[in-house]
Amino acid sequence: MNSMPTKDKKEKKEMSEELNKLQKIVEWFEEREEVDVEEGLAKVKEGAAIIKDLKSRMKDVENEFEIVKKNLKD
Amino acid sequence: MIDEEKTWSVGGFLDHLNNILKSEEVFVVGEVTELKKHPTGFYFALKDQEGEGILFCYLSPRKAKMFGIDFEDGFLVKVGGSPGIYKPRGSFSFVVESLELVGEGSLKKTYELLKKKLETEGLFMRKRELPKFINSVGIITSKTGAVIDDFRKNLKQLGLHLCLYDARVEGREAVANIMAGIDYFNGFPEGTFDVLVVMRGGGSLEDLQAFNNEAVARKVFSSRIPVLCGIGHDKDVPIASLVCDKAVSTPSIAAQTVNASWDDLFSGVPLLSKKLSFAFESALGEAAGTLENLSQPLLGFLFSEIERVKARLEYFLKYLNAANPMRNLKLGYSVVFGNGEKIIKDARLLKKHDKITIKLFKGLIGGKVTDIIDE
Repeated sequence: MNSMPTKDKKEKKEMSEELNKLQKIVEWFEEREEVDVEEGLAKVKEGAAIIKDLKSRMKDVENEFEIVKKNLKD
Repeated sequence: MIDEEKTWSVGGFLDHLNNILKSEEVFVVGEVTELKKHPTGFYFALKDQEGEGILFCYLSPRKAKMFGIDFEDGFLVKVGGSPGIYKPRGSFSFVVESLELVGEGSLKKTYELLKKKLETEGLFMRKRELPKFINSVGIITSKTGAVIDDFRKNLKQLGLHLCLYDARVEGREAVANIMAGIDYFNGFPEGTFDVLVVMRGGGSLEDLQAFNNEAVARKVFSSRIPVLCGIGHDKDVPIASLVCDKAVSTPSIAAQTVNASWDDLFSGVPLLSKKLSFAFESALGEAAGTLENLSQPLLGFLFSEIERVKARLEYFLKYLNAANPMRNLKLGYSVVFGNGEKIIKDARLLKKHDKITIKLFKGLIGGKVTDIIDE
């Protein structure tokens, strides 16, 4: 059996969840008329951590390529 | 001497002939005639478009289903197989092992018939969204040629896992290969592959037969994994492309489609990052503004208090200034001390000859009382 993908749905789900979290933090700021500075700072810190993590996934990582099966008659 | 003549039973002789006839696979091109579709198989004859030749053919139901070609009388086909004699009848026939349509007319007609049939069944309606952040891709195409190179060259380096199932995309083996590839990837546990990419460069209807094949179309439709087709074509969109979840016409666009599944990350993160920064700056600005607004009345009160205290101080300073004895001394007044350095305010407190000291603005004068004048 050829090696199969090791990255699973969990990582993709986490990425989607993190993007959602980030979106919600931005919305939190946009929806408030007055922002509690301390609470806002905590939100920004949380957002910055998410951005850092997501940016690390934007770095170039070489694609893996394999031929899993030759044609039927080979 | 009697020659030993080889004699056969009928069945034995037919077996002998069949062994000779089946020794090699042959291909024959001809026009379909007298087609009878029977539960036990397809029976038809092939004839030359010009000339008198006629060949009776048999196609098993299993093979017919596998070929996925709905042909009729008048279609030009190329069959592969071996000739044989059907013993119970002693009839000569050609057992079909492969079948391809030949000629634009047959292909076009088959294409239109299949398109209408599958459209009526609703196979072109279902379009599943390709997943976000595609990570593992099952590819079905030929390992040689420009298609796979173009696809790989246009993919971003995202750490993708690319598995190529090397399939013939043209010719007799194409249908079986493509179907086997789809089965292969669907055989893994759910989530192993995010998308299947079926690709081929452009070509004529004849070149693209495998992608206008009913069995292939149904296999694409039945795939649990969403299918992205990147099949080049001129006028008629391949049936497989009509059935699949997402169709593009080149391998490079297929690669860009995979890349685009990551757009939320590549465009979303910088955008949200800017928005967050702007939102926080605005919040800080607003907080500063609020602080200023709140402090205005307090500052006004403080300033008025300062002014009030300042006025009071000035008053006291003026008062103290006025009450300062040195000021009066400077004006020419003097102070008389006597009776043990007491300030003398009444002349009656002194007697004649008492010693007195007079303090002036500058310096002191000593003296004696010479006279008391009582007022």
